[in-house]
Amino acid sequence: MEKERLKGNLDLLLLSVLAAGPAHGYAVITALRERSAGAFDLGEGTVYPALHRLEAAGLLDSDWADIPGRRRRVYALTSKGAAALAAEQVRWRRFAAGMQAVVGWSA
Amino acid sequence: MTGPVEEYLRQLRAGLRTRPEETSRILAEAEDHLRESVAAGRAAGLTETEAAEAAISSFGTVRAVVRAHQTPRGQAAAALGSVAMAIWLLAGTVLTSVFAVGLVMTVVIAVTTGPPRPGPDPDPSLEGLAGFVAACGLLGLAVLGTYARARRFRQRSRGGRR
Repeated sequence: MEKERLKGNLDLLLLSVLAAGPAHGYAVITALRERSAGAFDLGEGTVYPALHRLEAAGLLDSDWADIPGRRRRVYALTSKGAAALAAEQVRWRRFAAGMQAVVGWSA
Repeated sequence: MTGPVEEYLRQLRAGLRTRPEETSRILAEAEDHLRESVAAGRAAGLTETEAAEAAISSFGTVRAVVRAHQTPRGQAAAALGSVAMAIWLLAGTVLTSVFAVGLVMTVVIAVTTGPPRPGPDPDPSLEGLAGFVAACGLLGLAVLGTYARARRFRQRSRGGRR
């Protein structure tokens, strides 16, 4: 259930990490793990399809960067992605506040 | 030298059912990710092999990564394929079972009644039954044979079970 809940919020998490600046997949996943103090530990290979999907939706842009011996795809938030992130953050904060008010309520 | 990462990428390439340019991108990203993950493992004190195994384990099984890259239509087709395979296996098993039971019954009848007496009119119903049982056997073997081949093909195309 934890994984499903995480997958349901993966887009918001990825957009939030990339709001800090362009990054390649490994850096995005590492940041996700570190910022969540290890709580969000997804199968790393399954994050790439989400990045591809966000790019196809116009929320991310990506380009190849050459590093010695191999190629690296670097992702960046587009203006449409930044607007979607801002809207999602508002929704999330409202939702989280509602959840906290109910779940954290004590009589 | 072929290490665990190269072998993993080979299996991933074999398993992916995506357009060539998409496959090339997925593999390049997977390689970059795994190499960086191995380097992080080495920096943390793991051996090359340990770091490679840890990187692959964190990345996910070939099957999980292939499934994650499948479109919903591709996932539906894969599920439909699994159902068709199960039905095909059941059909082959039923047909060969009919043959096996028929064969045992024939032997039992032959042993209990002795050799057939020569006569102008052999029992047509028994001849028909024997033909049916033999046809079931041949058809069952053919179905199971095609099932085995299809199963091998599917396993190869999924890149094994890693």
